Amino acid sequence: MLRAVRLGCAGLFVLALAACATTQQINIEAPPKFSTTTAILLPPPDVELAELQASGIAEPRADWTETGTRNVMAALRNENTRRGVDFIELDYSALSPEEQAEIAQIEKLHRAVANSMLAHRYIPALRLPTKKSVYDWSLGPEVAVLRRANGGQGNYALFITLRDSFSSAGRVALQVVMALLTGYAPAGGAQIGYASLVDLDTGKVAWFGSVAKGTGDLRDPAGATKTVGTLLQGLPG
Amino acid sequence: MTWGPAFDRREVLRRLGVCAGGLSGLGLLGGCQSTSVDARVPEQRPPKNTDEAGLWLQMDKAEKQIAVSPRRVRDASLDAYIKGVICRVAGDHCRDMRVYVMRRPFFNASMAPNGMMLIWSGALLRMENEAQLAAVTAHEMGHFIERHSLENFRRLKNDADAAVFFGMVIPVLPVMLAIADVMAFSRAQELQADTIGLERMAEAGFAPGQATRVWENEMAERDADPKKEKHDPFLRTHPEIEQRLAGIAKEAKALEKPGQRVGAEDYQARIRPFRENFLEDELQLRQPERTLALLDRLTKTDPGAADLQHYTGEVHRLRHADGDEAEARTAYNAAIATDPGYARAWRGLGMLERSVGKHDAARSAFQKYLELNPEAPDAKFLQGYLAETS
Repeated sequence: MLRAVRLGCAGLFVLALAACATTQQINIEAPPKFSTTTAILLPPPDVELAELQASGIAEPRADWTETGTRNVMAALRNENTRRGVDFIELDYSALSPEEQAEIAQIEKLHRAVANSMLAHRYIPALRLPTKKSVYDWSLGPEVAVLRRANGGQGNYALFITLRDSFSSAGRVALQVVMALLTGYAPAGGAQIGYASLVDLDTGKVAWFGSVAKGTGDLRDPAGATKTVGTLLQGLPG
Repeated sequence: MTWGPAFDRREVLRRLGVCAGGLSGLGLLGGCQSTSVDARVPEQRPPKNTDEAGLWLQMDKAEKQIAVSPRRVRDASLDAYIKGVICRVAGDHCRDMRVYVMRRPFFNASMAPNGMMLIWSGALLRMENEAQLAAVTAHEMGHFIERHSLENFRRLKNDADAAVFFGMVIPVLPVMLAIADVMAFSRAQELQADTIGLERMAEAGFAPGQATRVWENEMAERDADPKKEKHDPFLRTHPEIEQRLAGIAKEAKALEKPGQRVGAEDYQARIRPFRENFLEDELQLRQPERTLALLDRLTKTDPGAADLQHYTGEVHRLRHADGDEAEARTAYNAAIATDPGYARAWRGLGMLERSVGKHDAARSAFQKYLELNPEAPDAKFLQGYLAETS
């Protein structure tokens, strides 16, 4: 678990570095074409809101996370209508413990793959020689297990991860002091996240988008709509 | 940065004031948020807008993963048995606690602030009776009841904040002070959990002296290990061990009464079905001296058990030092004498004879193994060997 957390931190750190570019999309091979019958499964988005302490420790906030998750879900439902594609919200609770265990492994694998994509995409020095022109990242055909949460139906799964943080009073004080003393202000709260569209037949990551910015607020429905819009900007369909 | 209602202007000014005027000591900034917490009230979830709810949020997420982890030992009756012992000690807090047995071959148990208790298989393998299980879980419960995770988190947060501000003046010192502060604090918490654990187990009718036994056993095993300082996830954060053990022994003695429960038979009957797998994991650690000390101790409480005899053989075979060949052969043969149907021992014996070039003896042992366990995962490999040597 610790290793996963560390990996996640590394991934988010990479995103934070790329904060100047607010969004990036990676299209792997040809972007998929959606039709009216395309079913996109939506695993529960991984959303977490935190307060940034003076030291830089992000303290998770349960109340903000609850509001933020609700707002992101509402924004996704709007996206759904706007785009005319079918997002199907998955609920794993009816699955057997074995199936849930399998899905938990897929989610972990997805985090690992997404973090690798972020690292090797955004840091030029880390570009992999074999992935310079192709982006053939894949989770493997085992992702088909996700269909079981939707009665065996579904073409793609859209994984969404979002982190939003807000400066605490202490952090703002630190920024003021550091700016006065050195002319440089340490980073404040930020919004970072990524979305990946995974083909459920092959496990291939068919599309990947990210967002990293210093403004915005998922606690606000309009803010969540804006962020989700930016995140899914390049999503085909 | 995300500006907005997250911070309050007056609070920023106050902290700036502290920072400008308070360079005289860590205490001022460290004192920005009180770290002291009251004991928890059963069945109470923290209010959503608190730091404690944030901790719970993360632990609830972790628990979802733990619950479906491939490392989890999924056995409803084992869970129920452990939970039963916990509930005798926990009183009203029982309903708020959930137990997960994890396949990890070290002695450890841990308690998360949201009520998730993890018990590692290495601990279940090493404990000898129900009172010892009560002692270990009651100690963890002590952390839970006193909300030590929250206290720690606040302490860490304050120290880290202070370190950032004071680091501007003297870069390294505040970090060192913060580390020393957190470590001293966690030692105090361990001692408090020891006391709570002993009192609660005695109150529930368990023999508190068994808490001392747990530690004595652990120390004896540690002493047997020539590389004892290296692998020690359990003891790393715990206070000076001898001193702590003396404290526990003294408190336990004061709480001893005639007729307190030890519960060796019940405990061992529950754990025995899992012991083989737990020993298999222990073997992977490749710490032969320590594992042999453990097996010796387990054999004293359960003499003539085929699995213990077999794993004694395995440790000797894999250590492969002077005299180990004979020791291993004796141990495998003892296991086979105890239970001729114990397939693993036939395999071990076969591997041993094969490694010393006694192919006939190896062949007949492997044949016996495959006869007893035709679906063995290594069946193809062994059939290849049999074909090669015939």
